Amino acid sequence: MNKTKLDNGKSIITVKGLVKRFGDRAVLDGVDLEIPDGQITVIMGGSGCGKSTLLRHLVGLYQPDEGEICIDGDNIVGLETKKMNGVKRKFGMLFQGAALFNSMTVGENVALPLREHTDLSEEIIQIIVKVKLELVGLTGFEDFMPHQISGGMKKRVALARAIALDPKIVFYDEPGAGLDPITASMIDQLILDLSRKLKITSVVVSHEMKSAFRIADKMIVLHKGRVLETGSAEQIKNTANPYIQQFVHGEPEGAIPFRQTSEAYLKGLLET
Amino acid sequence: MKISERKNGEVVVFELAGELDFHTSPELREKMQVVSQKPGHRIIVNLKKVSYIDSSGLATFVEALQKAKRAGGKLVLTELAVSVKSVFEIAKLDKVFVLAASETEALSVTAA
Repeated sequence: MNKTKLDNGKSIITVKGLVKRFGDRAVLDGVDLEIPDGQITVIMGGSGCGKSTLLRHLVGLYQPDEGEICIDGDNIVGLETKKMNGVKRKFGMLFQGAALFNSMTVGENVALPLREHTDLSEEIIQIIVKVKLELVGLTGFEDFMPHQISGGMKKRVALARAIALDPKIVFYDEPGAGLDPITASMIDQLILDLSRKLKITSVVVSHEMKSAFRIADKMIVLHKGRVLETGSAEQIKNTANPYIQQFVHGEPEGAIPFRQTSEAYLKGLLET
Repeated sequence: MKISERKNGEVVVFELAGELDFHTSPELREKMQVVSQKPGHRIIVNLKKVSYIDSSGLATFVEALQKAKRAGGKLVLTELAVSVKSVFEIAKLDKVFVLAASETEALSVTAA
């Protein structure tokens, strides 16, 4: 059943009852969510809430123990490799560490998916590379090596590569991680530009609150492997949920305990 | 993607219908290359029935424009749908190409 439409026509990604266990621990414990087409959705939550695991499921790197993931009409759970490759052509991914090939120039990095996945001539590929680099503000950097450019520029090259094949969806894994605040906000602006101008659906996994509120059309808050709350940036900011309030304001004390109670600590010690 | 080709005097008019993407743009490139090899060639591409264009389609026109400039020829695109025109605008190429509102206008530009 790989052609199931789970959505209402407005969602490009639909996840239902997603469960993933590592040993006895359910990292995803029944996740249901919808990603609207053409908008920016930020999936947020604290470390260990399951957001990176969820992202890896959405891009097909992990198979769930239970549940369905529909991307643009295709249920990708258990999808055979050839069909999955077809689905993968619909999305690009910006990895947390940019993941550029250090032995290749900037231009070669951007050209890579075009050379791998299309039969386009080298002349056409070179023109596309120039257009993509202009879109991320890096015209003229084709011949630079990754070690010759800054961390923020590497992220932009990685983004140019992610959009090389004109994907409908781009996944971003912590796009601002390791960047100074100004560069991080430039990356945010780029995500906004690509979404608004090219109508690309953006799915951003982040725990950076400032960035999340700057770019999100929709926010999904994960906690302990489940969706705790979903809404617009304004709704999430004003929610009465104490977990989210603590998370948004970055407070060490609150509904989410910073430390286990000493009873739990002692119990854990004595039981092992 | 359907590509039809006709002559209007010295001008070669390509009429496209469908989606111009990674799969279909190589065929258009091949057909345009036959014409663009001739010095002083004049090409009009009517995009009235094109519903979608991706980066490879855009790049195909950029290459054709490069060849036209080198060969003293002309390339005019006409009757672009708003969504197709916006792809040129996003890539900042709308000012580089001559984008005519009608084929009549395109013909007068190529004749000039």
